[in-house]
Amino acid sequence: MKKAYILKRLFMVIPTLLIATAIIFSLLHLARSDPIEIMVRSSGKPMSPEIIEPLRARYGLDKPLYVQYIHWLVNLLRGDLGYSYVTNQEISNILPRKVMITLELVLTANIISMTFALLLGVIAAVKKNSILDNLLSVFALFTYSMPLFWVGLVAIYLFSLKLGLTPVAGSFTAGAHLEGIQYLVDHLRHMILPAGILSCAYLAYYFRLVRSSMLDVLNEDYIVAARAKGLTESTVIYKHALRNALLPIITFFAVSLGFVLAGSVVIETIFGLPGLGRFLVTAAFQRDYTALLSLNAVIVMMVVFANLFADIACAYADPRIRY
Amino acid sequence: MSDDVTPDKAQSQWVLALRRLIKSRVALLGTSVLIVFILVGIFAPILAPYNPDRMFYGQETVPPFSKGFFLGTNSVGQDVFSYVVVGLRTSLYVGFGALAIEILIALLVGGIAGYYGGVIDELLMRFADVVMTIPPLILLITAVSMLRVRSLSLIIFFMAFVNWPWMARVVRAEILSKKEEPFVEEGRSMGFSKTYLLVRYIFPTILSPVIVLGTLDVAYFILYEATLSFLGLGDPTSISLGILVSIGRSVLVSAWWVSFFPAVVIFLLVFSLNLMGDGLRDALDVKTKR
Repeated sequence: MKKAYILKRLFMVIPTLLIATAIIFSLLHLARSDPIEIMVRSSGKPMSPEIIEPLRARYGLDKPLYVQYIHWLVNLLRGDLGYSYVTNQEISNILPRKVMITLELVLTANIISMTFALLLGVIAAVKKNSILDNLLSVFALFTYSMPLFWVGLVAIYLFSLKLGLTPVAGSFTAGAHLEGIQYLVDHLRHMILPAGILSCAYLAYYFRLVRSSMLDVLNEDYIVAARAKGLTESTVIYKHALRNALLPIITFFAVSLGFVLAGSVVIETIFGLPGLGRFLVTAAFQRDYTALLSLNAVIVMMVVFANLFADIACAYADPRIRY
Repeated sequence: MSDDVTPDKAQSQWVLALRRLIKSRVALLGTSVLIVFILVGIFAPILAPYNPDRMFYGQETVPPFSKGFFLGTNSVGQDVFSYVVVGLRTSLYVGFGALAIEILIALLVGGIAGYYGGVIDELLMRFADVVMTIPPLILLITAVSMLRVRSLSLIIFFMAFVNWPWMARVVRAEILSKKEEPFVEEGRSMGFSKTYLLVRYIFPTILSPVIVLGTLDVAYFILYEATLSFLGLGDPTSISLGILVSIGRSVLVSAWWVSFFPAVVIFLLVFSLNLMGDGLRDALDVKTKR
C-alpha cells in the first residue's frame, strides 16, 4: 500500500514540473525583451535584420512558442540548460558552483534554526502564556517582521565596519591564494554572518510553526487521555504530543523552502555571495532570459523534490496515510 | 430577495470577534498603530513638508532634527521625512491593492472549485498546487525583470498572481465545509441560483479566515515591494521605502538616518499587521480558540 502511494506521488511530479516550467516559460515570453536584440546590442554590432534573422533561426527563436518550449524541455532532460546570451557562457557550466554556495548557506541556517525552533517551540507551547512563552513569541514576531535587507545592512555596519570581526562581502578573500585549512577558515569567516542572519530569520518563522503545531496537538483528546492514564508529563509531551506535532512540521519545513530561498536571494545580494540568489538578481537586471529560465526550473525542481520527500517521510511517520 | 432571508449568524459572529479583539491588548496595539499609519498615508500630501523628489543642492546628508529637515536629508539632498511619509503611502497602496486583487482571484477560483467540485475543482486546485511550487519572491523577480516598463500597478498585479493559491485553498476548504449546512439548504430550497447562494449565503460566513490571511498577506506584499525596490527591481519612478533604504546603503556609516527611518517604518508597518493578524486569528479562528 505504501509503495503504491509513493509511486503515485512520484508520478505526480512529472505533470507538476511540466506545468510549472510552462508557466515560467510563458511568463518570460509575455513581456520579454528579445534575447537576440540583447545579444547583438551587447556585442556592439548594428541592429540590422541581416544580422538578427539568421541568429534567430540558429537559436530556434523563429519557431512557435510551444515548439521552443518542447525544444528547451528536451535539452533540459539532456542536462543542457542553455546558453546565456548575456554572459556568453553555458548555464550548465556555471550553475553547479552557485547551487553549492546557496545549499551551503541555506542548509547550515536551516539546521541551526530547526534545532532551536523545535527546542524553543515545544517549551513555549508547553508553558503557554508564561513569561518565557510571551518573551519568545514577541521576539519571534519582532524578528519575523524585520525587513531582511535591513538586518543584513545593520549586521555589516556593526560586525564588519565597526567591530571588524567579519569580512564585508564575498565567499573568500579574493587574491589570497589560500589552501587547505586556511582556505576553510577564511571561507567560514565569510559565511558566518550571512548564515547567522538567515538562521535568526528562519528561527522566527519555524518557531511560530512549531509552537502553533504543538498547541493544536496539546488540545487533542488523546493527550488528555494520556495524562489521565497517569503517564509522566515528559512521556506525554515527547512521546505523544511531539510525535504527532512533527507531521505538520515536516510538511511545513518542505513548503517553507520557497521562503528559505527568498531569504537567501536577499542575503546573497547584500553579502556579495556568488550563489543562486545573487545570480537570479544579476540575471534579472541583465534580462538574461536563458539564465532566468533555467534558474527557475532548477529552483522549482528543488521545491518539488523537497515536497515529495516530505510527503514520503510523512507516509512513513504516519500509519494513517494510505491510498 | 431581501436581506431578511440571509442568515444573521454572520453578524453576531462579527460582534463577538470584535469583542475578543478589543480584549487582546496586543492585537489592539497592532490595530491602533496600523490605523495611525493609514491616516498618515491618506494625509501624506498634507503632512509632507516638501515634494519627496525635490533635491536641495548643498544640503546633502543633513543630520536629523536639523532646521527644516526633521529626519535629515539623504545623499542627493531629498528630505527624508517627506520621503518616508509618501513612501508609507506607497507601501499601503501596494499592500492593500495587491490584497484586493488577491481576494478577487481567490474567491473566484476557490469559490468555483469548492462549490462546483468535480473535475473543475480537481483542475483548479492542481493548478494552484503548481503555482505554489514556484517561490513567490523568485517568481516575482523573474516576472518583473522581463517587463519593458516596471510600473507599480503591474508589480501589484504580479504580487497578487504569485500569492493567490494559498488564499484560494482556504476559501475552497471553507466552502466545502459550509455548502451542506442547513442555512444554505434553506436557500437552495427557496430556489435561489448557485451563484446567488455562493455570493449571498456562503461568502459572508467564510470571511473570517480570508480577513486573517489577508492581514498577514498585506505584510508580505509590503515586504515584497520593499525588497524588490531595495534590489533595484521595483518601479524606479515610485517613492518607495525600499528605494530610500537602498540610497542609504552607500552612506551607511556617515549618514545612518537615510536608511534607518524608512527601515523602521517598514518594520513597524509589518509588525503591526502581523500583531493584528495574529490577534484576529485568535479572535476569529475556532480551532485555536479552544
